Amino acid sequence: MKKQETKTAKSVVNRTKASKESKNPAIPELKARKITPKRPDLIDTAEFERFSPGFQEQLNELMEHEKIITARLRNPKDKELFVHDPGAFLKKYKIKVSPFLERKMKEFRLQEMLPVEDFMMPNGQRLVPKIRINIK
Amino acid sequence: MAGSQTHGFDMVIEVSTATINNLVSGIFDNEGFLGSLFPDSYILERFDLETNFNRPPDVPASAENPVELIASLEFGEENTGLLRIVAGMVVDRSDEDKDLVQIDFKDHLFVCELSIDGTSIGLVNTFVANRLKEHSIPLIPIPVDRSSSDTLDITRADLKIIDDSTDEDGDALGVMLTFGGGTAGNLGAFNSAFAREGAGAAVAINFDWLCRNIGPRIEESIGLSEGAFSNCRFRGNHTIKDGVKLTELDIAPGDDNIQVSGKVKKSGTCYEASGEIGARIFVSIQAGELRVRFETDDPDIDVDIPWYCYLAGGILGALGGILIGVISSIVGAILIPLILWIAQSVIESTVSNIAGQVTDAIGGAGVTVPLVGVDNVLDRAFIDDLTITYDLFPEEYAEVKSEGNLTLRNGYFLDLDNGIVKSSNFSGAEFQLEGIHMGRKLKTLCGTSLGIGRMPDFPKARRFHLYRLTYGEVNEVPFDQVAVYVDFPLPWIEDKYVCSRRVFGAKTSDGCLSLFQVYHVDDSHYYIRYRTYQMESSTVRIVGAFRCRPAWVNFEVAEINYTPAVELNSHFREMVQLEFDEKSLDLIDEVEAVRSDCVDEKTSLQVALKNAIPVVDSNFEPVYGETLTLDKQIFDYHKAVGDWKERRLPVRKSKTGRFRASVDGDAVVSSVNWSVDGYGLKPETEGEVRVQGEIFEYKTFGNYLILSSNSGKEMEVPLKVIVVTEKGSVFTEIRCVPFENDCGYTVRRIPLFMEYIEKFSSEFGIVKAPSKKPELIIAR
Repeated sequence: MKKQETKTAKSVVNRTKASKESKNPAIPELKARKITPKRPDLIDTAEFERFSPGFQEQLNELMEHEKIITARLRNPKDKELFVHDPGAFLKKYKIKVSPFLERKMKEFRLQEMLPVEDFMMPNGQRLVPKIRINIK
Repeated sequence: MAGSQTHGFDMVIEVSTATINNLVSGIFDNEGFLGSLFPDSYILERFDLETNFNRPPDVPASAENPVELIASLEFGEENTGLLRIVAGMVVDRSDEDKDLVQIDFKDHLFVCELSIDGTSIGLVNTFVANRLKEHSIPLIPIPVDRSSSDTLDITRADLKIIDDSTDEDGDALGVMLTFGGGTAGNLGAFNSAFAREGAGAAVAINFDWLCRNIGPRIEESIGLSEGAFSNCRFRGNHTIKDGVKLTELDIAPGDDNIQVSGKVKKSGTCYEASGEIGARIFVSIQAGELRVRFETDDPDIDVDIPWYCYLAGGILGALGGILIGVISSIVGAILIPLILWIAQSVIESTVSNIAGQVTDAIGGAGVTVPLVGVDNVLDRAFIDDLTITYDLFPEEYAEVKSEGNLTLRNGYFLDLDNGIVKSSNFSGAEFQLEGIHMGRKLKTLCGTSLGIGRMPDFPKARRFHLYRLTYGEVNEVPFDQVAVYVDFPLPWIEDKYVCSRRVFGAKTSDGCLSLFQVYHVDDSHYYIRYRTYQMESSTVRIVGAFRCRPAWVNFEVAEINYTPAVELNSHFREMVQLEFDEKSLDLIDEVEAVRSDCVDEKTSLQVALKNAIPVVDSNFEPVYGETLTLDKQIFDYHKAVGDWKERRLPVRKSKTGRFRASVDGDAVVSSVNWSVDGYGLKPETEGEVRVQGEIFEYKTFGNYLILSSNSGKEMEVPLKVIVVTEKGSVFTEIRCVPFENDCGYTVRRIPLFMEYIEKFSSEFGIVKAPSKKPELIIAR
């Protein structure tokens, strides 16, 4: 647990640094810096590169908490919390994120991610997909 | 459970006692067949027949499939009689291409009892029995290919008289069919009829056989390997399109439906998804067409997403709309068209083609004996094994003197012998329409007798039905037997007069039998359709034609056509609307209570209708169900994609025509001589004759001529027959018979699944609506 807290603290420092760096685009060494996704198997590299380096870094930092997150997700209640309110989930396990991410998480609405549309059959029947999400 | 009704046979045709009674009545009446059984001194004027499938006690124990025919007879000079016949029903397999279901008087006449005026006269009885033994009554000819292994070829027909021991007492003739590759089922197990729901005939299709037929087509159309969908079950991984893989597909019989379920999966960056959908398919006859409707379950979607992707996709929008895209591509683009394709293309096409095949088989094959043809109309279809019911009735066989539609103005006079209407009385007129409005009546005029008794619907009424009526006891048809005046606006009928559509019979002033029906009434007119039969007289006709033998297996596809869904839906709407109006009229006629009640509101009307008929024929249910269901009925059968049809040209070696010299009246034939294109043929011979340079093989026997040729030339074949009667009268008939080579026929075609999807995308597409209740489950 201690180790985790230390990592979190470090993350915050790094994030602050990254944030400052992004406000000074003229610094030559940052301009040349390229961040690669830590999980290229999960996220499309091209999509990843569309974000600012700071944002990319934040995503990669979240990956550093993978073990604790996946462990907590084994608990059904925690999984439900993660799906509906990921911000609260991270807060509950003291995984700190940047103010930007925090704000994005507060704005998160599950319905916006869900396909809130039914499918219509030619006979007029409305099919409501039952979606079972399994977060791994 | 598949095969429970068919007892292991591939297909079973059941025909009710009443239908057999109608068919035999038609045959007895045709060409005076029944009358010809009696000595010349007994002139049969009319008869009424009763057919019984209950096993009579006085037949030998060894007698198989006995059928009892009891004819009430009326001879001239006011003699009456009763003829009781018990004969065996058999399958005649003497023709290598046909199994003929017939009542066999020749070798299986068990009882023949005649009494005249209550007395049995031995000599007459023997005379009739001997005459009877010269005949058989062919009922259902089944074209067979005995050595075929193709699942669409009938290899054998068996029969059993089903003496139904259940409370329903739905006795029936069962004709059991075995197709290529199949084996005969358990004939002894048919102890009760299957549910025909009052229909005259029904065909039950073993689901396993259906599966044997659709399996290979589904494999080919989806691109599965051969045998991958055997027993209507697929398990595997088959890519359909855009990375969507079909993993499971099942088609199975349900209680009253066919159940279909399919499962697909798709995986990509950040997700692995699978979708499953199930549906129940119901087969029915709508507006004369075989149609399916379906109830689809909500699809189940499983999506596995790594937590990281969930955050990235959902919160940061990095992957934007993973779920929306995936679900749309699984459900909208694959699962929905898959269900529609199986229901509306595979099942509907296959069953529709089978229904057509059966229709051709029982109604179209030529026979060499005096068979009254059969008209059949698809009636209903239900599933438990898949069952299609038919309304089966004899074709018109008697010569019609005059028929058509007439408009009879109030006060005018009508002649049914010639279809003449005049404003004043004239010689030969049968009826006058007297009075106005509801006080009108059709009054018989001098020399005309009105018949009392029950008649079937106009299109199904035949001359023998008119024999059963009692004539001369009434001399007018009052308004209330023709129509009712409805003094409230029905929601679906604008007419103020609703016709009973009752069919009446009459003996005309010329002594002919006639039937008529008032099909529409307004303030000033009766609109009447009628048919008057020619009086019996001795004439000769050449009956028969060159027919194409049904060829369901050996054919070439000449043409493929596609009709878009919008055209089909529009046509279907029109047809259903027509049928709906017809049923509404029939319904209103039944509802006496409503006639006297003044009902203003539509809902009140529906309540009144419901209360008025405690037991409702399920046929009428769509007419006034919980809601007025016309639109629903149309919507249920709405198509997203059109139909494919293919025109097939059978591969055949020769074409055969069977011709008969049909002698009407009571003339006894002494000799029959045929000639073809001027070339005389000796009686009871066979050989070759040339017509326009083409070789025809011929065979003459009795009243018959069989001609066949493998010529590809289209022509008319001149036939001539000379018939000499025992009394020395000579009748001659000449007829040119078309010999055409277009034996093509059109059937529904099952498209490739990708063809279907392409049309689905262009004609219907993925249709979405905002969801009020999206259902999300978090997997634990």
